[in-house]
Amino acid sequence: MTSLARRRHRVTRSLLALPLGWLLLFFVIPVSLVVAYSVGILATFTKEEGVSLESWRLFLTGENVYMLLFIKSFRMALIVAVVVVILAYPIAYFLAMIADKYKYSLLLLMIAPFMTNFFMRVMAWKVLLGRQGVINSFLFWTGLRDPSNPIEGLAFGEIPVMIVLGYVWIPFVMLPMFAAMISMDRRLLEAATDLGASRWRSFWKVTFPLSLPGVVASFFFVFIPTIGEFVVPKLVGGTRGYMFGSAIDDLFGMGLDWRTGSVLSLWLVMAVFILALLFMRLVRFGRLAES
Amino acid sequence: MTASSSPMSEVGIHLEGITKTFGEVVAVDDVDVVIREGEFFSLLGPSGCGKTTSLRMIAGFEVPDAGRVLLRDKDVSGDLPSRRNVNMVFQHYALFPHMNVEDNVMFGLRVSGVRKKERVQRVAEILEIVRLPGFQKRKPFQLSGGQQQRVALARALVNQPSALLLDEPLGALDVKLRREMQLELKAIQHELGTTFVYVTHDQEEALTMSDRIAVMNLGRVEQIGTPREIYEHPHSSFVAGFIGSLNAMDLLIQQRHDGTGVMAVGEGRVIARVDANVTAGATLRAAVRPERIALGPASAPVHPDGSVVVGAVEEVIYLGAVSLFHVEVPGLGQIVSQRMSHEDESAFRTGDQVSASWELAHTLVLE
Repeated sequence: MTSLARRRHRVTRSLLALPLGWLLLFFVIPVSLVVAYSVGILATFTKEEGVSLESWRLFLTGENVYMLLFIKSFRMALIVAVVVVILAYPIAYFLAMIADKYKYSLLLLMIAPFMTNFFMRVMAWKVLLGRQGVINSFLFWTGLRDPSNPIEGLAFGEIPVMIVLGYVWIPFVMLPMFAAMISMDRRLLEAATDLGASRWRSFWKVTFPLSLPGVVASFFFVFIPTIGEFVVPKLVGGTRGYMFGSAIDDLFGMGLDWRTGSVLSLWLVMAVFILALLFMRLVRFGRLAES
Repeated sequence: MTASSSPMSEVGIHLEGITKTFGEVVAVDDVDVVIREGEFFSLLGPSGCGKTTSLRMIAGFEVPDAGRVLLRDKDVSGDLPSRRNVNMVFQHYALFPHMNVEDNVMFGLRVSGVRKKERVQRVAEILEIVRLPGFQKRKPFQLSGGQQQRVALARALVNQPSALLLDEPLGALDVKLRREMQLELKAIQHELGTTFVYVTHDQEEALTMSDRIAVMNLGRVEQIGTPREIYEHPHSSFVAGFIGSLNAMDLLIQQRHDGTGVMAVGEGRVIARVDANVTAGATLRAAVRPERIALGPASAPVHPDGSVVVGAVEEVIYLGAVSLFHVEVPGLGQIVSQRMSHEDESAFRTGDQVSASWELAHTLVLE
């Protein structure tokens, strides 16, 4: 009896070892290294000052530009996420509730362009938005804009970064909302109609609240990766489209300042972690309401 | 519901020759049914017989291809479900999962603009009637199947519909709870006087609750009548077979006598009332309910004036209150007699020679 219990205990422990080891190897150790860099225990160049929280202080008090950059990225991610969810919701609604037997074919068609290379899709936007791009050329042609004075903001800056990110995310954003709506019991809508509700009312009182877990999931699917985005800003951001992720990329990639880069990385990890927790809370709440 | 109406006489719902096809399939085929105001009316039949489609046409979820739906003499065939003064209890309740009981029940009142104070009061009243007082703030997932069922009932009834439509509402409940709910539904219907249209495939359920039943098969109505009429005088072999169990037999009429036809079976006979146009030599489809067949010693049948056949007991099945006796009758085949287990007749054992007899009136001639 006791030996059996002991053996069972040993089995449990050895089973736990695998995920724990994985976590240790790929999460705890790397994060510890980054923490070590951020306070100067580890350093790339010996000329750096010794162990201190100086880099943290500079960042958190806003003495360097990075906190402002974080706030800017946060704002951009928020705008992109909200706009993309609002744009994708009607598409998801159409596919799930109206498209009937064509819904999966249409869904596939929606996703098809995203099987092409990521860079090609972004470059395509450069062709559309560039100084001599499709949109500017069209404006020159109509005479609304003089060829010597193209809309610069389209080529580089915050706006093209947000447009391209929105474009990249839309199909992924659609899926959780589509899934939430497709799994909804249609008889609930019949029940609402039976009780006298108009289509409009049925939507706001039944369909919309029940699709909220999908909406929340979609929102975070965009919001979390967008805060740390650095590839799209590099391609279409220019100087004004520079984001928090770009800064981390540069601080490490150009070997300028690993210490500050580590501070920013840890901050981002924490922010994403908190957001993920919030997301799980909201979704669990949604699940509870659904069951 | 309306004060001026004299219940049981006024026409509540009239399905006037309604037909509905889905693609190639004729789901409802020229159905004509008059449901009286205040009546508990059941649509009974096997799955695919068109009973649910008929109900959905009353609710407005389906539009008939031909025919009309009249609610209190008003043609509503083209009206949206939201414009019809009937409410439905769905098969799996379809309670709004994100709303508590009160908001669920209140939904219809809110839509029709009833003021908050009155809404709250009416919800409380109806929850009292369905025996869920104080459940206002619970969420559907916190309720048992039976309780969800009651909420669905309350949500429909609180709107004081001219008719309540129920689509197999007890299907998801276990047997014991189902029996309880049957009686309770009947009591609620009696208390409120609302017309209930009840769809079920369970013949016992229909017999227990209904004032009248329409038995449906293959999109058509086979027979409409009270439970007793349907059970005791089925018009077709389908109705006879669907409601209760029976011993079906083909009768070759050998001689006619005084409005009856007789077929000899061994030393015994089967006798049935037949129409004047049935002559000797005709074959009839007939049936006898198992509980109508009395057993006696082979030499002394219980009903010597009716039908009497003799055979050997092949099997005795004890079911508690009743027992079933399978008797092999040469020339007729196997017949089943159902007897109360405590009666003397139940002393017969496998292998015994017995007489099986029943009264003239209990030979049902079908079609």
